[in-house]
Parts: sequence; structure tokens; C-alpha cells
Amino acid sequence: MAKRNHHFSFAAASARYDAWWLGQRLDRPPVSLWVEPRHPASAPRSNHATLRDRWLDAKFQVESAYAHLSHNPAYGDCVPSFFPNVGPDLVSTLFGAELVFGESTSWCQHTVHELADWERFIATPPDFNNPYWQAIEEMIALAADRFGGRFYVAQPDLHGNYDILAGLRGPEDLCLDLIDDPELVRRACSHASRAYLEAYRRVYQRLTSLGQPCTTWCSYLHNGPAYIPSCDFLCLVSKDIGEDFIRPAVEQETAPMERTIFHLDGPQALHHLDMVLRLPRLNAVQWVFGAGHGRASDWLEVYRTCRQAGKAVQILAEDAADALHVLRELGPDGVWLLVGTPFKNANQATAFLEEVHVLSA
Amino acid sequence: MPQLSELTAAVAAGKRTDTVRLTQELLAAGSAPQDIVEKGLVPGMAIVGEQFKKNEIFVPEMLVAARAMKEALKLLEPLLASAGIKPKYTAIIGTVQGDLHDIGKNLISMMWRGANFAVIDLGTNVSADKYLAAAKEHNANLVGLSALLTTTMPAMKDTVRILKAAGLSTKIMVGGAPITQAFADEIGADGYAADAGTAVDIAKKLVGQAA
Repeated sequence: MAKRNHHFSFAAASARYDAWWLGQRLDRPPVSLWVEPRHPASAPRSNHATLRDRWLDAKFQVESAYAHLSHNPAYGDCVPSFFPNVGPDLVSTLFGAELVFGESTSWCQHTVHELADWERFIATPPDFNNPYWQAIEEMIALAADRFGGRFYVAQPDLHGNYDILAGLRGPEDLCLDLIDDPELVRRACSHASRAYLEAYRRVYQRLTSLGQPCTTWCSYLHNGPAYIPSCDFLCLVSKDIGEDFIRPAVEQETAPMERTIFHLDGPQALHHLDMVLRLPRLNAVQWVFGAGHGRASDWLEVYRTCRQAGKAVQILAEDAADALHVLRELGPDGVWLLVGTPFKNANQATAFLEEVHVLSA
Repeated sequence: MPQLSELTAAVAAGKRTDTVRLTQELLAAGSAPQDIVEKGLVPGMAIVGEQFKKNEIFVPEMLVAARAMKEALKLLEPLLASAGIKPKYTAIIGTVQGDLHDIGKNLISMMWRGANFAVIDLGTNVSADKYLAAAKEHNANLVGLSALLTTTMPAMKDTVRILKAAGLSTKIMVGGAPITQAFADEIGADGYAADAGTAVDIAKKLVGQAA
């Protein structure tokens, strides 16, 4: 039997993701994994005066990614890509929100200070000339040029619907607004979702024009519009609010997509799983149980519920043993394994991929 | 004269206008401000806490109840202060250094106020030194540490270590999405709460008040 090549292959990975989106499998499920680098990446050193300067320095971000990708061969179906990123509130910045940067994430300063301000927001068109969006565009252009087709450029993180509003208003005040004037908030959300779709359209067209496939921080592949819809605000609200307010907004945002995987974040959001599974354009679910809430093996019932509803699942396994246990329990169809703990070396990674092949036969 | 039970029901339902009106009517009829707080408002928030623990209500409903109580307290606090009546227990709360998330911390703070604790909210990104200084300054019975990011859990551990090393009698309670009872035990915290409803029960136990 010919020895299998376990290095990343765009053609093979694309075919595996094509099958996975539809709840099926090819030779095996898609697998995302990492190997500890033999040599540390010679990344450029940051001499930035502030974290903000570092985050928004497109050249530095692209060179850092290039150094990392160059020193870390990609295995399995882990797309070797650069993720242009300023944090989760990028769409909120289109409406004037400023970001505050931490080491590994950013926060949004609120610009909607009282209920009546939503009318002003609804009358405000999104501003794609703001420095955050411009930084993302610069990162995309620089990366496509620097990588020369060797690595891929991913879509940025676009949080939609009520997460945009929460960024502008703060989640607690948004909760109160939903009680005080639900129809005003619904109109505001529809406006936010239109901006989200325009942001997506711009990113999609730009990356497509550069010959990039559709991928993002959630490292799938698809040749056509695909994204990872989400609503972290879900964890705060009842099933009724999820059904009456959030479901229509997510439907609006997923209407133009060919493929979608919903990012369901945290046990407090799990009571909305039924609603998520009824989204008409949904292909898959990324269930993020989060740190402190066990391993993927502890959440088999959630995965089974998704599979029984005809949706594919991404498994966020802690390590190889966790991933293999879930694979044995669920079977290989409609399953995408992501192994969080890096393998010590390439031999361990390829041995794991071989085992996934055998279990998928 | 309205009954205190009517006030309790108004708070639990988050009816701000009714809560304020009933408070005014009770005061006008001669009810003691302390009774209005302890027998009218606090039981209303206790109902809310129980409903939240059972997933019968969620954050928006909890927030409207807290807002109703806050409006009533605006009327009552000057009267309580002039009579020299203060909450029996004082709590310090904040999100640990490096973490700017605040909703979990705010919910706990709100529920503690609802249980008639005096709460000093230090905000987000709070250093261990700042917690320590506030605990000393206010002679706090309880310090609450919140974290949402796994990357800031070490800061929580350091803060607990520094507070313990200072030898204060203050109890330390921790919480947040990535925090578990096991982690709380490991870092030497006195208590852990999984949600805002439970946080009241744990806080009462830690300060020695029957839950």
C-alpha cells in the first residue's frame, strides 16, 4: 500500500471539507492539528510604543505570520493561513466605536449611551474608511503579496447582529433596552446586520479577487461564500428572546452564504441549541464548551444532537486521545477533528492521522 | 397602606414604577426604611436569584429587577444614612488585572447589593495591590475576584496569594467562565460561585450569615 502524505494539500483538504459541510466524509474527516516547531520562528521583534500600534501595524502582523507559517509545516487539513485581526468588534468600529487593545484581544468603547441613541445609530451608514477597517484591508493586501500563493489569507472576525449592538452599547444596557423598547432594538439590529453583510461582501470580493479560498479563524475551506455566524449575546438571554430576536437576525446574516458553521459559545448558551439547529442555512455547529468545562468527550450528547439534526460538527478536542474517543463514539461522517494540544513532533502527528484513517475506513 | 409583600413582588417582576410608588406609600404610612429594605426589597431580589439559578429567568429580567430596587434605594438610602444604619457586611469586587470583561462582575455586584451588602466596585483590570488597599480601607468582609479570560487566571491566583499573605480576615470568593471549584481550591480561595444567584448564597455563608 502506498504511504499516505499527511502534509497539507489544498486539493485533498478542500475535498474533505466539501464532504464535511454536507455531513459526509471522504477518506477521513478533516483534521486540524499543530506540531511543536523544531526551531523557534524568527519573528520580527515588536518595538511598538503601544499595543494599539502593534495591532494596527499591518506590515509587522504580516511578517510575524510569515515567519510563523514558514517555520511550521502544516499537517492534515489545517489551512496554513494568516488571519487579519483587530479583535471581535470590527463591525462595531464601522459605527465609530474605538477599540482598546490588550495583549491577545481587544475591547470596544461604547458609543450608544442611552436608548434614544439607537435612532441616531439607525440613521448612520457604516464607515469603511475608519482606521481599523483600513488596517484590515492593508493586512489583506500585504499578505497576499508577501505570501505569493504559498500561504492563504483568511477572512477577518466579523461578529454580527446583537454582538455589534452589545459592542456599541454594552451588554447590560442592551439587555435593558430589549425590555424597554424591543422594536427599536430590533430595527437597530437589522441595520447592524446589513452593515455586517456589506462588510462580508467587501472581504469576500477582495479575497476572491486575490485568488484566495474562503477560510477564516475557523479554518474550513469552501469555494463560495461561507462564514461562521455567531451571537455571544445569546448566553445572556432566554429562549424566547433567542427565538424572537436573534434567530431572525442570524437568518438575515446567513441568507447569502453557501456554507455556515454556527459558533455556539459556552454552556450558558446551550439552551439555544434547538433554535440554532433550526436555522435554515446552517451546515454545521462549532460547540465551544470553554476552559473549565471538561473535554470534548464530555459533550458527546451535544454532538449527537447536532448530528441527529443533520448538521456537521467541529470537535474541539483537547488532545489526540480526546479526539479519537469522540471519533469512535460518533463515527466519521460530518465530523471535523481539531486537536488543541500540539503534537511533539511530525511522527506523532502522522501516526495520529493514520489512526484517524483506520477508524474512518 | 400597601403590604411589604406587594413591594417584593414588584421588585421580582422588575416593575420600576410600581416599586418606587409602593416604597413612597410605605414610607408615607410610617414603615421603617430598614424594614422596607430588609422585608420588601431584599426578598424580591432573593426570588430573582432563585429564578436565575433555575434558568427560569435570564440576565435581562435580572437587570430590570435590580434597576427597580436601585430606584427604590435612591429614596431610602438618605433616610438610612441619616439614621446611621449601614449594611452589615461590606464586599469589594473587581475583574482581575489584564481582564476588561465586566458583565459577570456587575451581575454579582448587583445581586450582592440586592442581598443588602455594601459593595465597592473596583471595576476591571484591577491589580492585587488595589484589591488589598480597598479591603483594608473598607475593612471588607468579602473580596470577589472575577475573570473571563484563561490568560488572566494567573492574575487571580497572584491576587489571592497577596490577599492571604496580608493576613486579613477578609474572605475571598472567585468566579468567571473558566473558573471551577477545583481551581478555586487550588489557588486557596475561600469560595467559588458558578453564577450570580449562587454567589449570594456563598457570600452569606462566607461572612457567617445564614443563607
